[in-house]
Amino acid sequence: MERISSALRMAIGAVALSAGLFSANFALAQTVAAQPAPPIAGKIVWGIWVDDDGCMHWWADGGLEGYMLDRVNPKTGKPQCLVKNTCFTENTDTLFATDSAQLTADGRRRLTAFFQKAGAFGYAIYGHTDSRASDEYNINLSQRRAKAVADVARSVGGVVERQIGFGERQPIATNATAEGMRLNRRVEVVCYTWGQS
Amino acid sequence: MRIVHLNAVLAVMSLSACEGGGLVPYHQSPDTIIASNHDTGFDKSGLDVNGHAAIAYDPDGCQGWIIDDGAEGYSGRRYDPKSGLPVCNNLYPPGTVLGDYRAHSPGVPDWVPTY
Repeated sequence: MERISSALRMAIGAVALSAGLFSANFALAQTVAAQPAPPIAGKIVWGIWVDDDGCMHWWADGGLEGYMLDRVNPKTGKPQCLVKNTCFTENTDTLFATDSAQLTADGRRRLTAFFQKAGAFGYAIYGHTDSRASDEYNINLSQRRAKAVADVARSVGGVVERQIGFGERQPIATNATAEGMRLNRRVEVVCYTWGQS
Repeated sequence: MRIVHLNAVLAVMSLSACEGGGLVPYHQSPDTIIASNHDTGFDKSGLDVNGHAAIAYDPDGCQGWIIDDGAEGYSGRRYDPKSGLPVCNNLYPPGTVLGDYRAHSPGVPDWVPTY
């Protein structure tokens, strides 16, 4: 039956492709008037499905075929994810001295313990600062801090798939208050796992 | 081979039509539901369990989620939930599928191509 529905899917794909080519030609021929919309074929009642990372996908069952679209933020195009898979977030005040990418002894000890038990196949490490100092300075500082954390992961055999310093560009709180700035100074680790469900 | 499968599909379709639900031929109308968030087809299943999916590597080495409920397949990109970047590595060759790609209670067993 999978075979049949694959054949159906291929046929549907071929029809969609030729329809796409046709409408492209049609659009070229029309230079002024807006292209008239094709007739409404029907409607889809979408459901939501959440993956193990917390990211959402729209899905719908068409009887013999299924559809899935990744749910994205209409403004940014980025995936829409529930908070689920940040396996480590730490305020940088407790990991580093101010303006330094040198780990404190306690910070190094806690990071080592974390990476030893996390057991992911890969890690993404993101550094963030508050908005004091220049953007360029903060990008550099957060990159060096991300590297320091990533080096700890690698020292215990962890695979770091990416380490990025976002500087002050991805705040999670206001930079107008001391408490907001404290929340923004952080290191985030995302664990890439094979899933638990 | 294909005709046998089609007969099987039609047989199950008409069976479930007797029990309510099932499938009807498409007719064009703004109110016609082309696809829905519960499986009205003969396989009586849907994506009722969040998280349960297999990971498939695409030819670029990037991961996607795939689910098969027995009749239909679904796939969605895997993203890093913090940065929105795709999850890509060379741990396995392109095309590799890891984990259980079948939904928890598929209505029909899966058939795979003979290739």
